[in-house]
Parts: sequence; C-alpha cells; structure tokens
Amino acid sequence: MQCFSTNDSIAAMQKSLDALWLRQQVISDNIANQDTPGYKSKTVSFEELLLKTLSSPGESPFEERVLALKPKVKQDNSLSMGEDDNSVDADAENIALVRTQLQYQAMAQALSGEISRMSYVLNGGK
Amino acid sequence: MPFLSSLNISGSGLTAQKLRMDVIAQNIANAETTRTEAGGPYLKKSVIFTEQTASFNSALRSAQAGGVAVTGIVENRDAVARVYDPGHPDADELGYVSMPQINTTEEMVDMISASRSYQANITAFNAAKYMAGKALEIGK
Repeated sequence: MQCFSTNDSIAAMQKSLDALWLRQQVISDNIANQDTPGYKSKTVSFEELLLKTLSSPGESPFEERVLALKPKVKQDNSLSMGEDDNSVDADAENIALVRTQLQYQAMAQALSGEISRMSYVLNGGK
Repeated sequence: MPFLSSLNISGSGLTAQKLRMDVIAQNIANAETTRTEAGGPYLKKSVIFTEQTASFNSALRSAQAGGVAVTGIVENRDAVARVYDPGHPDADELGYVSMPQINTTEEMVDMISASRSYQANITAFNAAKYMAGKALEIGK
C-alpha cells in the first residue's frame, strides 16, 4: 500500500483532467465527422493506465510516474454503422460526451477541494 | 494542446453542415430549373465531407486541430429527367424537356440529417465551453 502525498493526488487529478479534456476533443471530432464517408470513430484510453500506475509500485516517485502517463487515442476499425463505412454511433458519442463533462466537473471540484484544504492548513486553520 | 481547439473542431462541423444545408436548399429551389449558365437543366449538387486529420497523440504539442471540411461540391451529371411537355419553352422538336431529376423527399430527409448533425455539433461545442468554464474555476 502506497502513501499518497498532496502532490501525488494533485498530479493524478491534473493528469485526469488533461485526459478528460483530450477525450472531449476526440468526441467533438467524432461528432463533427459523423457524416464523413469512411471515418472511423476514435476513443481515448487513460483510466487503465492510471490504474496500472496506482496498483504497481515503481522505482521512481508516484508523482513522476503519473505525470509521465500519456493517454492513448485509439481508432475503432472493427465497426461500421452505415453504407458509407462510417463507424460513428451518434447516441454513444453523446452519452460519452455528457459522462466526460460530468467527470471533468467532479475532478475540477475535487482539485479545488484539495487546494482549499491546503490553503486552510497554510493559514493555520483560520 | 491548444486550450480551445475542440471549439474549432465543433465549429468546423457547424460550417460543414451549414454548407450542406445551403446546397440542399439550392437543390430544392432549382428542382424545376431548365436553364443554367452552363446550358442545360440544373444538376443536383452534393457536398463531399473530408476528415481533417488531427494527430491527437502529438496534439499535446502541435497546434493542429481536427474536424471536418467540405472539400468539394459535385454535380450529378446523370440527374436529368426527360419530361413530355410540348408547351414548355425549352421543349425539343419531339416535345420533351430536360428537367432536373431532384427527389424532394430525398432532399428533405437529407435536410433533417444535416439539421440533426448541426445540433449534435452545438451540443459538443457547449460541452467544451462548460468544461473550460469549470477549469477556470479551479481553486476558487
């Protein structure tokens, strides 16, 4: 079991925010291309990478390892929804968009909470 | 990664769908047009959408946004119907007129599709705007 410092959790939240932002961009791209023939939808994988970093102890500090994580953009070549060989599922993209939005809001709030706790301590509990 | 490049991505989708809508309106407006500058009847036009490739993995550094673009408007040369109407000023000696072959129902369905896609892009745009707002509130 690892012990997390404030820096560690801020690093993890910062990286998650970046990954969620990237996911939101990729979803926007999928929606913009929902009528483009031959376009294949893209997804961002990040949570698995973060979980791997969380569960496996490494040599370098956790903060460094988290900040070195790179979210991956994957292209889905298997599916084709229509005749035009486009694989964008508009409903799925909309749901993913809303989920990403809420996750981002939750993460931003958690980060704000962490910062306000820190400033509470720095101000001597006042 | 440019902070608000997803707004540009959604914007490109809006522009493309709007142009598609314009072309559909042009098709419907000219469904009975028998004379054009190029000569002959009006020909049904359609847009070509092309993905603007964004390399998201390198997008963390480069400024290349993705999105979609209309790379051409093509005319369907075969979309001409021969209609028998001897009283028409453009009728040939046999009484046939070359009319544009435009299926209004098809155009309407296309228009609904364009309008829905436009809405979807607006939703994505608002999501990006909302998330950016939340990011600016961090630490408040």
